[in-house]
Amino acid sequence: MATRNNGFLLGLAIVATAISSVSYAQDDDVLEAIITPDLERREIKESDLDAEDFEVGLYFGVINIEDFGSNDVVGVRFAYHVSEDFFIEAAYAESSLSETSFERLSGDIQLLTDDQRDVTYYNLSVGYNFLPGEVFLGSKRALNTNFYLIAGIGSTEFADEEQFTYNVGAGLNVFPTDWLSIRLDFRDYIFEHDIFGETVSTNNLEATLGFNIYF
Amino acid sequence: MSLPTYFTRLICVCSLLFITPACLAKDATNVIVDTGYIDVHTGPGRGYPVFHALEKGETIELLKQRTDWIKVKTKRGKKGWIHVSDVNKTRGVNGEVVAFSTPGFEQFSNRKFELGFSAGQFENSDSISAYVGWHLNKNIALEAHATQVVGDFSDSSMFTANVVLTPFTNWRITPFVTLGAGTIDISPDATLVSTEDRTNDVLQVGGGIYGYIGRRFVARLQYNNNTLVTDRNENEEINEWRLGITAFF
Repeated sequence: MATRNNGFLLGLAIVATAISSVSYAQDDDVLEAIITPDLERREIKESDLDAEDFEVGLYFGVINIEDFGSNDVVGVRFAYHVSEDFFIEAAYAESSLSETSFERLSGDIQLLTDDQRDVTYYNLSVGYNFLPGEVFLGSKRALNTNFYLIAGIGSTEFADEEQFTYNVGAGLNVFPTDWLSIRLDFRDYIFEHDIFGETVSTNNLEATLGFNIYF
Repeated sequence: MSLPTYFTRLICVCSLLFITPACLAKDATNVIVDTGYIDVHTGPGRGYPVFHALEKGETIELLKQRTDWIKVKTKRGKKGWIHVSDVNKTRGVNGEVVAFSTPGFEQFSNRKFELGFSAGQFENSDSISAYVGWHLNKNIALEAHATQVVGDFSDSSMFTANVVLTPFTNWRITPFVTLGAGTIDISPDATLVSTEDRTNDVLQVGGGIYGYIGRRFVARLQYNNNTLVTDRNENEEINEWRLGITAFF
């Protein structure tokens, strides 16, 4: 009996000590809980805000494919802004080829079929934003602008052949609002082709105007 | 391109454009400036002019983030951009700690997604590839790769799904190994005698290294041994090298 009592008392003592030590430890927390209201979040961080690091856009313009004249081009692009300075982008566009001078002068001779005159290209590029600034509309409004340099690799397809294509260029972004940009882009697409027999390296210049949304 | 295709493309992009601004609805996040002053820029970049300074004790609303810049709105309705390092000098209206992180090496080892592209050699032809990766945990990732090979006599496109194992996540230059499977479409150039396109299954064993560059960028060098499963007695083996750049987040 005595042993059982002793055991009981010991147990009680241990529990009591445990409780008291816990309550000592909690004293600060209890005070804090009374003083500060129930906090829903302890920390404010990036996940509390919408990030607008992606960009999607549509562009229109003219591309000159060497020997095949200048033609309309329309494309879509998707970009991710890694920092204020750098972005990576993927673009896809379609255009077509006109007749070469030879075809026009020679009468009936056609070097390519209509299907072969469809041009598509896509590319993956890295861009660098620089020269940030403003343009002023009248005396009240200022729009943010920036220039960028861009270079990348990709593929151009026409005449049933893919051509490995480098692109380099530069452009200007004007922001009517911070999530919309109007973009003027000048690009050189460099590739080799052997459609006329021997392999030639060509520079194909493009100028486009695009509209892009940040999200 | 035909006119209807133009229009479908246009509609697709336009619908994308309209969805995006709609996802801006979240609770207002208000913070109090807890430092001498904070510069407010007109745009999300250090080069945009400072047009306003926030004072100590001023309550501002955080609107959104673009790269390292946060758009804020003052009580008087002035809107501008402050740098992430400055937003951490504020505190929440209920005393919360404001802790925005700037991307760094730590984010690299804790990355969830990867987006990258590369240029390379596929046997003796040029290749371009792009991939997306999703990390199951620090060591294992699932990736989808698309590769375009531009050769002198044929063009191919290859799509593979890969598992990537990165054993040492805390190294700035860190190796990985990968196993993958997919398909490859090979279309001989039309200038040669008429040949048909062929499609083969492809098995991929590879490895490489990541090299942390900075911010959200890593360089990725990769070697793949591709086995094209053919109907013939012997399978075709193709060695492939890629060097590219990857963004992670």
